[in-house]
Amino acid sequence: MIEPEQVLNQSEVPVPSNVYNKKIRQKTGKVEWLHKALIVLVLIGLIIGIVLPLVELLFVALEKDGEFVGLANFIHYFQTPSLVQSMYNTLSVSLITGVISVVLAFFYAYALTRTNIRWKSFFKYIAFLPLFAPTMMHGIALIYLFGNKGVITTGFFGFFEKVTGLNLAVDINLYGPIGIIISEVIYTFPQAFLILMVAIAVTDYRLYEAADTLGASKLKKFFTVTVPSIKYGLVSAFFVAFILSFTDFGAPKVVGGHYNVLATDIYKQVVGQQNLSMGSTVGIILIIPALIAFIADRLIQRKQSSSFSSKSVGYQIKKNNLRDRLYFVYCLVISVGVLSLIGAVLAAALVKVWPYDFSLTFEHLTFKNVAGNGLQPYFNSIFVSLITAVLGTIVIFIGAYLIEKSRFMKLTRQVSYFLSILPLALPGLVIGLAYIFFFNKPEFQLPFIGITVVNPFQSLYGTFMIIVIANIIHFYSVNLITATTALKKLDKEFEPVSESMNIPFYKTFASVTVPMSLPAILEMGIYLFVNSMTTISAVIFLYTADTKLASISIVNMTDAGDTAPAAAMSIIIVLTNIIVRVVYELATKKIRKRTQAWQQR
Amino acid sequence: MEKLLEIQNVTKTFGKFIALENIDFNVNKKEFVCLLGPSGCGKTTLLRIIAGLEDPNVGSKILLEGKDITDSPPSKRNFGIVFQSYALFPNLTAYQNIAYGLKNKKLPKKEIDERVRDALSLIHLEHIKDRYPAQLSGGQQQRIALARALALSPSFLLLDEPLSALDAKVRLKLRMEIRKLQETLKITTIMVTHDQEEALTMADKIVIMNNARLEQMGTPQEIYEFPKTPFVADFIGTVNTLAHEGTSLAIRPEHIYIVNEEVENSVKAVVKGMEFRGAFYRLFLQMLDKNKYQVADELLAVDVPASLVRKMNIEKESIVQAELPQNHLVTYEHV
Repeated sequence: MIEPEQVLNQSEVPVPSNVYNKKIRQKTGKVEWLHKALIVLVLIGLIIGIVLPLVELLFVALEKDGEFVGLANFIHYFQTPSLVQSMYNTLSVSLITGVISVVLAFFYAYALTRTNIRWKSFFKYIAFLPLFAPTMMHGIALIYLFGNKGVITTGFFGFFEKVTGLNLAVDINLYGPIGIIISEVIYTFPQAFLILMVAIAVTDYRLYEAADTLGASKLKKFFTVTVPSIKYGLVSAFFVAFILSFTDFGAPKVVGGHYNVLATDIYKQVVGQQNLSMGSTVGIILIIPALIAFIADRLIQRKQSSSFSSKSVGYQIKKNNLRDRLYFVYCLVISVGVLSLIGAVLAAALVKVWPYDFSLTFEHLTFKNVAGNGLQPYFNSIFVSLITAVLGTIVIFIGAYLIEKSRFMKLTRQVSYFLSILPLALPGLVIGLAYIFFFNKPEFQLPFIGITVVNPFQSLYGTFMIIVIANIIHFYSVNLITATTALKKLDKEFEPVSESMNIPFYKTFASVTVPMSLPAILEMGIYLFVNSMTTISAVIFLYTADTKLASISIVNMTDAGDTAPAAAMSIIIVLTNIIVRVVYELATKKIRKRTQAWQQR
Repeated sequence: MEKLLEIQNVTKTFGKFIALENIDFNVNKKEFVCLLGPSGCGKTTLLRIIAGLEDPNVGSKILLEGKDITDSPPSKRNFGIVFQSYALFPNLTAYQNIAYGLKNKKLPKKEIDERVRDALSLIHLEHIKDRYPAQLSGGQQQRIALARALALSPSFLLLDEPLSALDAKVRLKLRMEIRKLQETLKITTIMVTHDQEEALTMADKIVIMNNARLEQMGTPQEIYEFPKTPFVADFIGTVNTLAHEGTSLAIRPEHIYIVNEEVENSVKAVVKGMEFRGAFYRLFLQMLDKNKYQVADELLAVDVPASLVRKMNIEKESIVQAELPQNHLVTYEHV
């Protein structure tokens, strides 16, 4: 035992000079070795899937006809008026989309959280409906409603005029910015709605009570309590809508007409003119605003975390019939809008020759004699989506687990986390383009040492696997966040406790972590499936005749003027997604209930 | 006494921040040691280093029964641990939680069952063995976590603030139960706590830490009676800090007596405040002779039995004689 005097001396020992940061290294057993190897593997995977292709893309953007030309391509870009015009176009379309989408979604979310309207769950499902469709479908629907022969443009084919004697035909000049903006608003509405709904739901009611006791008016409360408490949500929703529409390819492709945006420019440069360097240059320009919005959003979200405490009180909705009636009408109008889009596409898919012969037919569903290779692309899509869902969920969840729950290799894990979150700022088109360059290259010249290495991944080029990988990387971040959120809910001491009992990490992972996170894991799977069914941007560059997907065939068919079969394919995709979602909801009800019971404290 | 754990010169830095500085102490076999200190003093970091969950700086040493385990992973250190959150696996029943570590040892089923039942009977919770953690009270969860840690018969037990998530009544009850269990099993235990009462009532030995350093170590009585630094005196119980002829002194309120007449070491004072505390009153005295002692906080706190207060008719503004017995005046050597 140490004598008290000795102990006392401790307090006056000056900071010794040998206090330096070097840490004792623990001996590595088999299990620890495996654990560390997996962490390294995650990083390597992310480097191959994200960093190397992007580097390759950058190289291509810096060369012309195989020669290094520095920033010449960028200079050329900014000196070409037509190209600069499309950047301006893209910015204005996205800004307008962001504002409209956020405003519409805010009142919709407000109606569902702060009023007593009926049909709330119906309205909620309707709001999510556009998520199940490829963006081309919104464009196709608009063509049937507002296009040259559209229902509204022709005043219900002259029917209104006949009945009322008034000319009610309205031509909104669909092809161009208007069509793109409407499509993008529909596309981004669910995402903005979801963010705002969460933001509004976590407001502390005590603030409203305090405002009431101080005699604040309704308007004053709105600007001093409601807006400040959801401002981060508003900004976040705007950024998300902005990025989505900034990088979207499907809608401008279908209803853009001669109005060029960056996404269609890339496609034209690469596929039309075979100008890969200029395509890459535009690709990199496409990343920049997305990256800025992404960083801004991250910074803002970091600020947000402290505003809501466990003591906060949920909002209590007061009775107000007039308010409820107004919001009900508002939600109804939006829902009718969404449903009429689907209705229009459904009609287009099922009538013989729009608008001349409205007799029903299933002919379009056979995809005979059109540019779409029959139903094969649909089955390809199902196949790719299933593989993406299964493989992606496994890879992303394990990656998230290692990053979140390990106590080894902190720096490596931090780099992996950064890379995992990066795809959020990467447009699908850029991923697809970068993949062409990376996976199509026969060999790599290692920098500085001049050694040439054969590209081991080249065999993936032109296969379903490269599409699957592109999808997984494209949707990596969102799913990583889902997984991380679920993992953070689990006690961080599960792993140390297991270690103290000499139980390898993979056993606790399998017997505790996975069962506890099952709802999140299933959610990830369904997200990957649905999005792989609808995505176009990343895969448009990666398909071959044998690996064509349903979404690509929609683009091919609209290009060839086969709009009705394109509508039919869209409907099939939407239906598939809805069915999968419903089956998922029913099948996992029990699992979710059980996990919830475990999680109660 | 036989040493089980030797903590030698343990230092831990996080970048420029020093979390632990040259910590040295031993833990004897069968001993219950409390690491006590305010939050941020480094006690939890020390526990995690002992467990092998954090790597200390080079130069630190931890010996288990004379064997250097500083670079051993947690799985090779043979300890049981209970965290503040208990970290019970929510999808496993109480029984399965306790059996979790045993199953991995590839023991025969019958033996696992026996050992789980033994552990359950030890904590008197046989009747809730099939419930999930969410269906248990905080105290029950805590005991299951304890049983899980003990089921593998570890060579020592680490407790990280095991009682702080419980409400006051349960805490008092479990305090006794844990100590009783520890005595029955004779298992060496290190417990981290910020609650001085917990440390005083449970520990054989208290290690007081502050600002990454070890302030004082000793039995609860030693620490209470003879605090070596103002920090310790102030952290454990209440203390009056005085200055007397250039030296710094400390005395606890209950060690000051109110006497009838002037005696050696007594001072005349006026009662400036009274707090009724049930069995006793805490008086706040202002010394009339300001030259003898200088009280750091102006007023001297004195605990007087309620009966005496009534007998002596003490009230506000009464003039009293307070005796500061020499044997209870602690002198700090280093201030």
